[in-house]
Amino acid sequence: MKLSPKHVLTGLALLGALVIFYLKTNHIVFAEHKRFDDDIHRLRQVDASLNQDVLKSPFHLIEDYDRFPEEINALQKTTEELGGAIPSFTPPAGRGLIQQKVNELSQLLSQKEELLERFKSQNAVLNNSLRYLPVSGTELIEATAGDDQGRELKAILNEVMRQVLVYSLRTDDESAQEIHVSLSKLDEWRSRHRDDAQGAALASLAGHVKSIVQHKPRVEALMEQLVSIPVDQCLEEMQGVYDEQFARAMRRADLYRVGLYLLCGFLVVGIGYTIFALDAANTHLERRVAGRTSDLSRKNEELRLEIAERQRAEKLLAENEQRLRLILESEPECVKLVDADGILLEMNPAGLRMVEASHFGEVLGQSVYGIVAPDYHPVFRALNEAVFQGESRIAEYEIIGLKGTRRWMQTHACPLRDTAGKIFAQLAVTRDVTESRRVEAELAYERDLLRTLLENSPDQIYFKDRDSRFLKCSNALAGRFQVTHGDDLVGRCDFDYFTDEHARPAFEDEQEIIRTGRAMVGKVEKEIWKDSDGHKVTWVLTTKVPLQDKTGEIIGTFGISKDITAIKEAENKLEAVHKELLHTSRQAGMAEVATSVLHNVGNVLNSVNVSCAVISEKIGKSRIANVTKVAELLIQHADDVPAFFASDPVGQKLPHFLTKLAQRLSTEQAVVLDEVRLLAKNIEHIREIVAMQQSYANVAGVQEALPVQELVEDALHMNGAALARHGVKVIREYAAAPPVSVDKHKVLQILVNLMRNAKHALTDGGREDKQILVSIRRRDDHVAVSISDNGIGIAPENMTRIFAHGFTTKRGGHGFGLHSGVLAAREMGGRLAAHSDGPGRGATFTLELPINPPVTATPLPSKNRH
Amino acid sequence: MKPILILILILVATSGKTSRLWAVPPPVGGQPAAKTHEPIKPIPFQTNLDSRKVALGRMLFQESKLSHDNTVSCASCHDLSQAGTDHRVHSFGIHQTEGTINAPTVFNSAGNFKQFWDGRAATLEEQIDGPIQAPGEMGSTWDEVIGKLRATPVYNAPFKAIYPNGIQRRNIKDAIAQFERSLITPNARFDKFLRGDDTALTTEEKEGYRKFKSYGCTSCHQGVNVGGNMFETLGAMADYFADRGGPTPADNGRFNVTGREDDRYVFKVPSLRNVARTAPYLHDGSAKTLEEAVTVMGRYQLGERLSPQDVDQIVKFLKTLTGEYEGKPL
Repeated sequence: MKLSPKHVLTGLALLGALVIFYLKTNHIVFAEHKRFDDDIHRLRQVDASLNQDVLKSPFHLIEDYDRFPEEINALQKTTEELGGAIPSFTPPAGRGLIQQKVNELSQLLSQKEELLERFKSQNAVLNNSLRYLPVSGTELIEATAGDDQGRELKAILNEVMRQVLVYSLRTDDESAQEIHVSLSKLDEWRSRHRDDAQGAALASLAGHVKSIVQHKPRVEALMEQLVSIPVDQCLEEMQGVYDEQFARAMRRADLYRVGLYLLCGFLVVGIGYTIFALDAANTHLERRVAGRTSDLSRKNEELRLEIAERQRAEKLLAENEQRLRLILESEPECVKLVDADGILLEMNPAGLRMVEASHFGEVLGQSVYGIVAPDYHPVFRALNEAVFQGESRIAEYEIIGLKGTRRWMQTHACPLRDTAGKIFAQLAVTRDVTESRRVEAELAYERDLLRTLLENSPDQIYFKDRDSRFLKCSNALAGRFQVTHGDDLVGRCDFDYFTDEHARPAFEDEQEIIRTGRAMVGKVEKEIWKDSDGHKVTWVLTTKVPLQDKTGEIIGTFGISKDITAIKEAENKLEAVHKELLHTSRQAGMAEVATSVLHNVGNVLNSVNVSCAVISEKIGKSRIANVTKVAELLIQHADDVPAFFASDPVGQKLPHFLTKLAQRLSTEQAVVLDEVRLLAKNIEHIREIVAMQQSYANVAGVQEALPVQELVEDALHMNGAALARHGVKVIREYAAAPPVSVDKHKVLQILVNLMRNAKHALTDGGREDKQILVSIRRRDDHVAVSISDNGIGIAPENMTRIFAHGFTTKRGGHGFGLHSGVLAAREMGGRLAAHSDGPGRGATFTLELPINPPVTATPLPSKNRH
Repeated sequence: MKPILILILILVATSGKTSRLWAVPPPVGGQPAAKTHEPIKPIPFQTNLDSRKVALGRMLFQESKLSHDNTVSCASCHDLSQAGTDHRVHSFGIHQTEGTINAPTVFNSAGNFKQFWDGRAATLEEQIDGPIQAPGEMGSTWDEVIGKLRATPVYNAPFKAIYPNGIQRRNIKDAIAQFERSLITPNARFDKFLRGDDTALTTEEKEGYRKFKSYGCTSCHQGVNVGGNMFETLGAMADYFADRGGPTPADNGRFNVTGREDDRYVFKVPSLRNVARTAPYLHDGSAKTLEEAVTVMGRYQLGERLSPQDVDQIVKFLKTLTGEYEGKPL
């Protein structure tokens, strides 16, 4: 057994493959993966805290802007790094996809930075005025004289300040309108009083009020836009793209690992075999030398005997040969004659083709051992020996043709005897079985691969028949179902392990795949385990594809599920923490609002006190006592009243005195009445401020189960005054409905907005019998609250646009209410729909709220909205 | 034995010195409760910088070879002994060219969110490109600067020691920026007040601060730098430029960067740290005194003619914002 170049080459090739496989297995750099993954997470965190800071700023929970540049810089810097830190093992296509997302992100961030700068500037102007207004207002009130004119001014100023406070809490057109009315009152007062110093101060105050009215909606809109920029969504998508690339790289590395193991195994076997073969070859050689020596002497003896014999046999032989040749020529398989030493005696044309000889002369008298692959010499030798001992045998071996092609041969060999019955040759019929062997080997290899995959893959892999019963499963799946081997699951189905809630849709998905032949990729599935009373819930990411047989007919499905329960739980936790933070910041903001509300109640109380003092002073100094005096005079002259009036000098003046007194008294009454009216108005202000405070102070909160009727009544209450003022009749149709699990603040925000829209539609419609129908109905799994008006209605072409951001038909409207309403409803797992029969025919808006909120509310890019 | 002793003594002495330089100890005398809910935050005492870069940056900051005709250095307009400015309305570059906008102080500039009045540079490093290449300032090019510095023996060793690739544009900028980051002025009287020392301010100054807040000044002038972290329109409540007249291209402010109409007359809100030492004021250097500057701000940002008493008290408060550099009052 010599070490031929072929052996060396094979060895080198194997070693090379070994090294390449090893490198491929190790090409995932986990440090890079971790860094990239961490970067994405950090970006999401910073973005969330930036959004929170933006939302906190109107409540003065943040007094300085230092953290904004820090956060936006961190976002931009990390994004820039992200582009250069795409892990090296990501394939070029995936790299492109991720880079695309990074570019998208950095664009979003520059948008965000620009908006942030505008928000900071506008918010500063707004805060400037909000801070300074109470200072200048209080100064003006203190400096105003206590006369009637002064009191009028004070009342106007108090009114304006109250309205501004209300406006800063509830920014709407109506409040703005009220402020404008008060401002024109102020202008009018100013035009009546020419006092330069005071006039300038009043002008400055009016300027600040206007600035607040102008900037507040802008700041809110900017804030809204700012937190709506889908940075988080973009990051989430990027994460998705990257995760897929990472998983792909992992799968590839796993494949190479399997390859590596196989190769190692092959090498060990090869080395073992080589050692064995060397030993065998030695022994054989010795035996052959001894055999040859005795053969030689025997053959000499035989030769002599044979010569006589041969002549006799020759004739017969010629005939046999003639026949044999005919068979040989026409046989499609290789027919050959080989002597005991393997020397080729005869070969038909088919055989010549197999050994790649152009004519018989090329191989005649050659040893077949030159053609049989060295590895198979022992096989062929054994075959030949057996045949020469009179046996028929079948053997398989490899040959190397004269032109170097390797082929697998299957030989059926039998002894060929001469006339004397002596075996002189091996007659062999040989078939080329290269192709069938290759196919068989490939099949075996693929079976091995599949088995390795199914036994070792951490993912759940399964093949199902057309009835969704398991045909073959990975051990990972078996482990999940608490059996040891995937084969134990054969014949079972999802319904055996999961509740219908998961098993049914999964079954339907599979049927759909079988029907359409379309794969289902990357679906997140929630699994509820049957024997756990619904307590055990797991999440998987599943991809299913049709399973086809050779003819392309779909015979079932094939799927891979990855357990993502841990990821899902982490996500839910993050979401919960996020909500908690929002809630806390909102509550804190409310406390601040309460302080300023109380401050303003105090201001109005001042006016109440002034009014009371004026009334008691007026009543104390009243001329009512004079009436008593007149009565006494009349009683004194009761016996002769006509004479008293006619002749008594006092009596003569009495009618004139009475007239004067009556005038005086009615003036007094008017003043007191005015004062009482002012008083009542001020008390009403206080009530409104307090009521509003109550409605706002507790509304912020997490989702809680709330009776729908109460929510609707609260909303009606908040709009009550406005509806009454415009003569709108409210009809209530409440059906019994279970409590809904919602964020009270959001629902109120939507309902108040819908009612206000209805009121606008009614006033714009201008009909006499203005009416709003508020109904509550239960439908399956949700409660529907409808608000119908008989106002101007909605034109069909506007029906699809009313929910879009920026669309409005109201003068001075922002087109934001319905848009944010839809988003808020969707966030709670509900929905907001509109219906109208056309212009002039009223409109109905329906808010649907879920009785049981979905476990995963549709995540929105703007989920940080307060 | 003796040399080692001396060495240890030197080490102790120098380390003591550095700690005095870079880490001024907080005021002694109990642990007063710091005021945390104020819109203004104190400047931290410590910076975490590479002292070799700071030293190299200090040399470069004074280096007039950065300019084309070797006459102007960074320190020419940002004189550290003059609170980091030159007290001129407009500074002068090479060939006595007059600038177009007031040069702000370099102290605490690291705390500003962007650089230049119009915020066109995002970082200190980026800012350096501006004056070096501006024809009317240093009028040089980076090739020229690098060539000159490489020919100056004193720079080769320190550059090589810090940066493996020696004198490069990036490294020059890095060293200067690091030095600028060391130019902070902690321990102002107002910072002591913020850290809980109620005796640090007089009643008048506290009243000035109260007015500063309630008149809305802290809407913009807030944070560690008392400004320097946002943009705002000059003339939010009244038209400053119409009253002043004589418009210049520099008056357009951020509009010159973004081209957005909304950004016309918008400027970076300047830091008020050490403001008493950095006259004249505003981007056009038109206010010669703090009183004037406060009056103008009241007039155009608040829409109010502030009383002399208000102005006086607010100015008194602003004077408490003067901090210390290297342990000495600025």
